[in-house]
Amino acid sequence: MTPIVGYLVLLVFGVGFTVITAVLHRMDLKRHGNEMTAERFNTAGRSVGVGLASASIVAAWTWAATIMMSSSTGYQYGISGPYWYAAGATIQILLFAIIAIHLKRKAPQAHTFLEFIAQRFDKKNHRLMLGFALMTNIIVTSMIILGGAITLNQLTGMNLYLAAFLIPLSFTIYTMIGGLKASFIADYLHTVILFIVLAVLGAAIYTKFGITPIYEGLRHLPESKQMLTMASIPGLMFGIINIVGNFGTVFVDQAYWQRAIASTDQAASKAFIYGGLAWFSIPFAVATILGVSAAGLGIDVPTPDSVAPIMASHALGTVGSILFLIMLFMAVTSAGSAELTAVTNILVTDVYRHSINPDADSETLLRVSRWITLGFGIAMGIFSILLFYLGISLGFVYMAMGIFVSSAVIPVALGLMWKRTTNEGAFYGTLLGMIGGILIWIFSAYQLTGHINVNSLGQLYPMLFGNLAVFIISGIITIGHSLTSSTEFPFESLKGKFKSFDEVTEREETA
Amino acid sequence: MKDQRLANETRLYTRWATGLTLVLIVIWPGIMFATGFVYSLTYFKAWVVLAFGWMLTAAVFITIRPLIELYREYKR
Repeated sequence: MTPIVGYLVLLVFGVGFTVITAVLHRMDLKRHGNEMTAERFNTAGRSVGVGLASASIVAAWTWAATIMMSSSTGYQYGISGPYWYAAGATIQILLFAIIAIHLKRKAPQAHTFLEFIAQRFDKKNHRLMLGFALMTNIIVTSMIILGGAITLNQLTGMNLYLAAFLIPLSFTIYTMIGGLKASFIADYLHTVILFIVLAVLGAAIYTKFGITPIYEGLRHLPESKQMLTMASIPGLMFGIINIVGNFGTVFVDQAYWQRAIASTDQAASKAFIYGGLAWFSIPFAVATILGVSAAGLGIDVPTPDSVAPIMASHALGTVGSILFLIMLFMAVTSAGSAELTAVTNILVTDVYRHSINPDADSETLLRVSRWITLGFGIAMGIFSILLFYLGISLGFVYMAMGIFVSSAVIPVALGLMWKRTTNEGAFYGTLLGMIGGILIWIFSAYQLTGHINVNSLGQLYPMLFGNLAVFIISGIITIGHSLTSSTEFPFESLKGKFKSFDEVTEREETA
Repeated sequence: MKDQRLANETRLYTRWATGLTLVLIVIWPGIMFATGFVYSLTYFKAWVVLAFGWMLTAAVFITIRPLIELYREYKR
């Protein structure tokens, strides 16, 4: 393929979704007289149903990595790889259903999970968690953009830096017009297209090559015992890291809280259960169809990471490549727009309204929201280009991410579900959990290889120990301190603490 | 009223979420790991059908359900 195909895909879908969003936005205004307000922009009116919410959860959790890396595990580990990839990253979404319903009960009017933290805990917790949340969003967004840009570059030869800049632009504009609701509708369309492409690729591969030759190929591979059984040790190891490492990127990522917040009370939890089960099928099917089949057919790949596009073009030629490119682009832009709305909501709620201008009215907040959306979209483009210059590897960030963000998982979840969680327990659990995790990660890398560098830090076992340490340390400190103290947080006191963006804010009497 | 319903739903979804989690990462892979079962051709075919069928089911659900909701909303 030539670079032109890459630019065309970006242009057609970027402009296409912007137009669709603008039209829908117009229709909504005309038919229902739904004026856009700051509250609607950031919460989609809290009226989203199960179907749309599930689709947007699937879209937010489907990254370029979900397609590329899952196929790589299918190629390397056989049938256990896709299973562990899918199951290991589905359970976090399923378990978030519990968080969603607790949030609906205790703080139905909150805009971000940090706004909840600010009321539930003290100031230092709010600041610390704000740092963690923004770090999570920035890491995830840059991974999504980098993943997309690298694949566009490999598939079409399109300029890497230009791709990194244009990808965020393609979803920033429609998000800026329509806010969270626009992001949801785009997510829906993206997910539908992704499923259609996947079905077409799967049907093409199995009718063209047949399942039996693939099976025979797998059986005759030297490591055949490993490829055709779930009882594969490397597969299991990968599974454990995948399970542990993915908690932070769901529980500390405002994008998922936002999906709970935007849903109706009855829809929130159901959407996470359905969304999780639907998402499971994406890596499971992609990696089985593209990764495992490629291994069975004995297709040569330069690195396992590039197996998915090679298999697609092997099955359907140029058409296959273009279909694959579209599928990947759908995954990248919808996940990117979810992150973008999450960051906008955090910066508006927890920085602008919390610290800079507490009395801002709806109009001001809407204007600020739109500028932040645009600003962050462009900033992420520039930041991704910077990362390329620094030469940070995607796989490394993906694996290490959990160590940096996961220490907030237990404190945040307990803060919502358990009235005895203390300020000190949550704060030091989060802080020391991260520090301890990083130390153990570095120490075990040194113990196992004798030196500390990107290569030794990227090994399987140091990553596993680091990730586990984060959970164990933050969990022990948070739970331990809370048990020694007898304070109980009255959740009922939260009632009325969260104010809508659209309320005419009266000047607060000094508290 | 509303609080009571949400309290009931909390129990319901907690059970579903933890139950499905156990099935996905402990029971299902645990049994297959412990038995060390190596796939036969029939079983491999069934596995592919499972992956493909699950994907199609998810695709139909994700595509149709929001449209139904949209239709209901417009009718109102």
